[in-house]
Amino acid sequence: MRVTEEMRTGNLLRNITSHSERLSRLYEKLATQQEVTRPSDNPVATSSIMRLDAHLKALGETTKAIDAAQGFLDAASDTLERASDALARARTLAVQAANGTLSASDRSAIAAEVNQILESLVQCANEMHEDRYLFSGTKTDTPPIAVTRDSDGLIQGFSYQGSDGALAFPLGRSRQIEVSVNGQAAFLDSDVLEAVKSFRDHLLNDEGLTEEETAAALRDDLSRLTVAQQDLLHTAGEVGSRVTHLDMIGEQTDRAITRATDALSDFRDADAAQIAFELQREETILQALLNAAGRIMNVSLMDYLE
Amino acid sequence: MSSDFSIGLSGVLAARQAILTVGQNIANASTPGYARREVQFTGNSWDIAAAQGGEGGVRVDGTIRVKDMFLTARLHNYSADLASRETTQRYLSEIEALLQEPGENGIAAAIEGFFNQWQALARRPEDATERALLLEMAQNLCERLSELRSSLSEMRVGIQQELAGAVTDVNTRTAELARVNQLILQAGGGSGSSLALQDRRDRILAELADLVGATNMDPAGATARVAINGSMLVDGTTQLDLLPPSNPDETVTVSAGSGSGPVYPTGGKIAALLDLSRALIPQYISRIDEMAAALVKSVNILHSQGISGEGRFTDLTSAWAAEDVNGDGDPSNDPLASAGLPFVPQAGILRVNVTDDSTGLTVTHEIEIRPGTQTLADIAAAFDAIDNITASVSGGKLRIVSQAGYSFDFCADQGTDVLAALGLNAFFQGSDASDMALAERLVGHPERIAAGRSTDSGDGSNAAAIADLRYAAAVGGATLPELWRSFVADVGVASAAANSAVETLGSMVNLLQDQEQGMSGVSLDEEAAKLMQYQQMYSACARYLSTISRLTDLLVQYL
Repeated sequence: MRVTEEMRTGNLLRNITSHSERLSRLYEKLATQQEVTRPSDNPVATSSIMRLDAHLKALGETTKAIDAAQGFLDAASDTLERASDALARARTLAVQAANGTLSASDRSAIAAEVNQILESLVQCANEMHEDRYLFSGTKTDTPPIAVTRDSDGLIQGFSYQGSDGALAFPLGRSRQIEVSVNGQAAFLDSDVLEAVKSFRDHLLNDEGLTEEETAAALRDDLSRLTVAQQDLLHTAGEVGSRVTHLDMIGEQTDRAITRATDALSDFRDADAAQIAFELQREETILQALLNAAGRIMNVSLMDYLE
Repeated sequence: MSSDFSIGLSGVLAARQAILTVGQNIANASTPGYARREVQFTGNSWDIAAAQGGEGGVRVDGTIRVKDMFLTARLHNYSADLASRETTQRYLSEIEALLQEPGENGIAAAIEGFFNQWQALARRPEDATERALLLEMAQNLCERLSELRSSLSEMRVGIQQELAGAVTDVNTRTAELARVNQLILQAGGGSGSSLALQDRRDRILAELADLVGATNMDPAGATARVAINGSMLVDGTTQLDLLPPSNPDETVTVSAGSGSGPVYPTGGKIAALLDLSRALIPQYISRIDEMAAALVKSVNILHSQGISGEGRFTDLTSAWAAEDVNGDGDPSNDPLASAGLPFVPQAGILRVNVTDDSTGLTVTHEIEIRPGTQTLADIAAAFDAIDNITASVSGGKLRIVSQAGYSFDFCADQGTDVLAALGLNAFFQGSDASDMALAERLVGHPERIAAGRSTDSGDGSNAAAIADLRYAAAVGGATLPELWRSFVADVGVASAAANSAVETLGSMVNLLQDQEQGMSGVSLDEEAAKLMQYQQMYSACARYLSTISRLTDLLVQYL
């Protein structure tokens, strides 16, 4: 085959261009530290990167939901614990009162404390977390327990104003976690508020009961308080189990995030060592090419003509 | 006797002509399209025995171009293909850059951000910040999709301009080719006097191949006959103009004469531009539109069934007007199925809750939807028949108003998507990526986002349902994020295919170019060798002449 000047320079230029191209591609990888910077680099990997990216973002949102739910449930749990402590105090007082050796003035002193306990229990029921009522279900802007008071300001009746619908945080993919505790069930159906109120009323003895009837009523109150406390503890336990469940979901999510991050890194991140090696090789080849170019272009028969 | 001198003289003259040819070759070593010349020598007949043996010596038959037109034709085929793929590659990599994928600024991130914000809102529907953020995210997503779509549309306009330019280039070249053909014929066809013209002819042919994939139907002839996919452009001295397409969906046409009409080039830059403008880009646009339409529809269906932060509705007007398709001047009497709505609603039951605000008592009413026969006026009449609400149609829009002390909503399970089709309590407006936007009612009113399905402040159930739309099949079993991913992957595959085709065809073209160069190119070493050869031939002939001359002198001396 004849080799002409055009071929020589053409081929040389082509080779140099193609190696320069490869070099600049490697520089780009080195600069971005990414294996795939445009879809055509690797369409399949691009698709996987986008899928994993979306997956990670959704998992991040799940983590946020878990954190928010945790905060809400922790607040509920704290509040229930406080209510339980108050109830325990009321029960201790009821044990004393049931002994039947108290004078009327002793009873009214206890009644004053029990009334305080009742007020604090209502406060507990109407506790808020981040401006939302804990026990109102989805009616987060409405206090769950409304009270009616007599002329002395003593609480006479309770009603639930919250929603039956539970407040739930979506965790993605149709999963959700209920964060609210129904105030109706926790404070009214459980007899917590009514039992304390009944205890207070019997201590005050507004109805004019006889000493024996009062003693019987107080004994009855003690057993009601005992049951109510158990109910409250049960509710608190149920919240605790939800927190445990949430922890489990949180761990699962964290593991999923780790896995997805690893997989994403496999697809996307450039292997620095490999790039450095390839870069070295391409540079060597390019140098050799340029070297050869200088020599080949210099050789001509014209040099030997006289 | 005289033949002694004439032999020597012919050798000297032939050597000089050969040296001139060498000079011409060297001078044109870098001229594109130049095929090296060779001097053809023939020995003159001469018989020493015969007294009248002829003049003898060497005769220069002529100068020829060393060229294989069939090899050239093959090269042109490949280079036409290469030019086409290169053009496709150029535009595809531009589209790829538009996508900004994979990355934080792509549409995938905008989609994900949009749905994540719905999920955040579901956690705190009472939070005005989350609501405002959602509107921002929604607007961002709409903008990104419509930007991409308009960039693709603009690209199509740009392609039209490039096509017009390329067609002009083709016409300039075909006109010149016809002139060159004429000059070649005037110079006596393929004879030695038209060699420069033949160089010119071959160069134009190469350019036409790259531009429009035109091929020379007569590679062996002196004049070129050029056709695109069978349609003649240049035949001898006749030339037909190519016309650019009248709109982006059309192809190029040949102006007049036999075989006029639309032609479909199979190679060259123009074929690629036509393919991009007529097939690929419209296909991409329709996929983006399809995705946008699915997003709008699915979000609207759920959103229309929710209750906004403002509470139940007391006065609600549909966002998009029914059109007067039957042309009688009244848009309210066209069946819903053909009233120009963004999509045709399903037949089924529409349930309307009407609540007495003072008692909180809610009554659910049912309206049967039959889109094939029912008109907007029929729907309005059905609403109007419900106690405590009135409905009317004006300008193709349905307006529902409740009586004082009453309010209404659509939270009951819906058996039809007529609400979204009419745009009642819609989140998005528009029907494709070009006009997709946040519903006008919501702009600047984040409180109107229907996050819940009750009036409870903390009810984010509707927002949670919308957030989960990203996992729901939208088009052909694929979810919205999957639709986008597969679109990006398809662009990537097309671009990668164009890249590798360019590489493969490029090396094929290089190979053929080398072969052509090997035959027709000028080798300076070779020319140098020839120069020496002809120089020696010249000196030998000159020496022969002087020898003959001395011999003659000798003879004259002895006479």
